[in-house]
Amino acid sequence: MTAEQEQAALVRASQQGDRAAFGAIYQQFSRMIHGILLAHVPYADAEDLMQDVFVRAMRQVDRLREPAAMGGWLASIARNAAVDYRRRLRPLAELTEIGAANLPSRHAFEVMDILQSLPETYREALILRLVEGMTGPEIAVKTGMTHQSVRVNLCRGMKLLREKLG
Amino acid sequence: MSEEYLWDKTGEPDRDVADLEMLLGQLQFRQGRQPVRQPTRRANPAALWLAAAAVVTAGVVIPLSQRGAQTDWRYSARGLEARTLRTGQVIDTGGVSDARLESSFTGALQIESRSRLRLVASADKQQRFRLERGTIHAVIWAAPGKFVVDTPGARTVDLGCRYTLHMDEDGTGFLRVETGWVAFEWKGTESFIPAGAACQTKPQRGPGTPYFADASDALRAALERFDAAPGRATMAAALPLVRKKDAMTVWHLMTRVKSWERTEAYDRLASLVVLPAAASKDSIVRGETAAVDAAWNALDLGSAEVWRNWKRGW
Repeated sequence: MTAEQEQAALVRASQQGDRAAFGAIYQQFSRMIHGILLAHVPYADAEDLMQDVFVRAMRQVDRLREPAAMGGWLASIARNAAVDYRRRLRPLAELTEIGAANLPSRHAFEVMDILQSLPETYREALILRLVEGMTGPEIAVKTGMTHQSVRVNLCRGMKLLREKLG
Repeated sequence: MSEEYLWDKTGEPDRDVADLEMLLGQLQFRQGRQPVRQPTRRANPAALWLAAAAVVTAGVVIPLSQRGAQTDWRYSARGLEARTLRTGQVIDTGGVSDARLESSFTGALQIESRSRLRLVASADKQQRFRLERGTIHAVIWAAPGKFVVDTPGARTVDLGCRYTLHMDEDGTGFLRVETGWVAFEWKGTESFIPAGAACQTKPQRGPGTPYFADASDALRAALERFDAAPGRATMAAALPLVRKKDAMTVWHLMTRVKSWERTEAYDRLASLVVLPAAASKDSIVRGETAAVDAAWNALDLGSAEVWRNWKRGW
C-alpha cells in the first residue's frame, strides 16, 4: 500500500468514526500544524491551539471529500484557527508559567520573532523547515503545495531572513 | 550557499541553516513534552484525548473487520460529539471518566474510566454487552430480561432495575443492585440479587452467594468460604450468622448444596419466612423447580416467574 493509499484509508476510516485512524492522522500531521500555527501565534499558545485544530478537524472530517486533500484541509483549519485566535486574544490570567529551566533559549524566541515578521507565504515554509525539521518534499506532500512553490518560498524566505538577521 | 541542504537536507550543510535548525529546533513540537506554559483552564477532554491518541487510543475502538449494524445506542462524553454505536464495537474509555451510552428503548449506562465494553448484539429481543474490565452503572427501563451483560464469570440479566457492575482484569466481578433485581447466571448456577444486595463472580466458578450490603463481615467471610467449596460444612458455618433479612441468602445456600444436604437450610429458611405449602421440605429436597420458586416468591422480592419466562424466551 502506498503512502497515499494509506492516508486515504485513514481518512475514510476516520470519517466512519474510527478514532484510532484519526489518532494516526494526528501523529502524521501534528508537526505540520504546529509549524503553521507558529507562523501566526505566539509559541506559548501554539500547542494548545494545535489541539483545538485537531478537535475541529475530528468533528468535521466527514465533510472532507478528497482524502488526498487532508494536509491542505488541516492547514486551512490551522490558519483559520490562528485568525480566530488573534480576534479573541486569550487573557494571560488563564496561563500559568512553569519553571524557567524548561524554556527554550531567549535567542530562539528572538529569532522566532523575526521569522514571524516575514511575509506569511515564506514564514510558514521556513518554520516547517527550520523549527519542525521537515524537508521541502515533506512540506509539499503534507501541505498539498507543489514542490516548486515550496522550494521558491524556502529560498526567498531564507534570503529575507538572512537580511533581517544581518 | 547550498540550496539543496535547505531543500531536502542533502549536499553540503549550509552553516546558517544548520545553526538556525539547531537553535529553532528547541521550539519543535514533540509528543509528550512539557509545554512552556500550561493553561490552568479546564482542558477540553477531546483535546486531551487527541494528545493521548499518539500513545494509547482511548474512546471508541472500532476493529474495521468487525463493523456491524447501526444500533439505537448513542455514545457520548464531555467534549465529544455523540455518535451511534454499531454491533461489535468496543468502548475503551481510557482516561475518560464521563462516558455514557444511552438507548431510548433500553436504558442508559455510565461507563467509568479504564473500562472496556463491547456491544455484542442489539435486537428487539435482546441488547447484549460484554464487560471485559472496568465499571458500568446501568439504569434500565426496557422490559425485564432484555438487557444482558456478559462477563468472564457470569451472565448478568437485568430484571428491571438500577445497578453497578465492576469487572477486574482477572475476571473477578462484583455486582451491586440499587433498585429492582438482577439475575446472574453461569452454567446453570443462578443468583438473584435484589435491591440493596451484592454478589461476586469468579471466572470458571460463576456467581457467588448474594448478600445484603449491610450483612455482617462474619457472614460475608462465611459465604466466601462456601462459594469456594459449597457443601454441608461451609453452609452450616454460615447459617447461624444470618438475620431475618438474610433469608434471600439462605435460599441461595439451600439451592446450591446436594439434595440430602438441603434440610438444614430449609429449616433455617422456614424459621425466617412463612413458606407456602407448595414449598414443602420434601419437594425442596427433591429439587422440584415449582417448590424452589415458591420458596423464592415467599421472600417477597419479586416473582421467579419473570426469570423462568426470560429463560424460556432466550
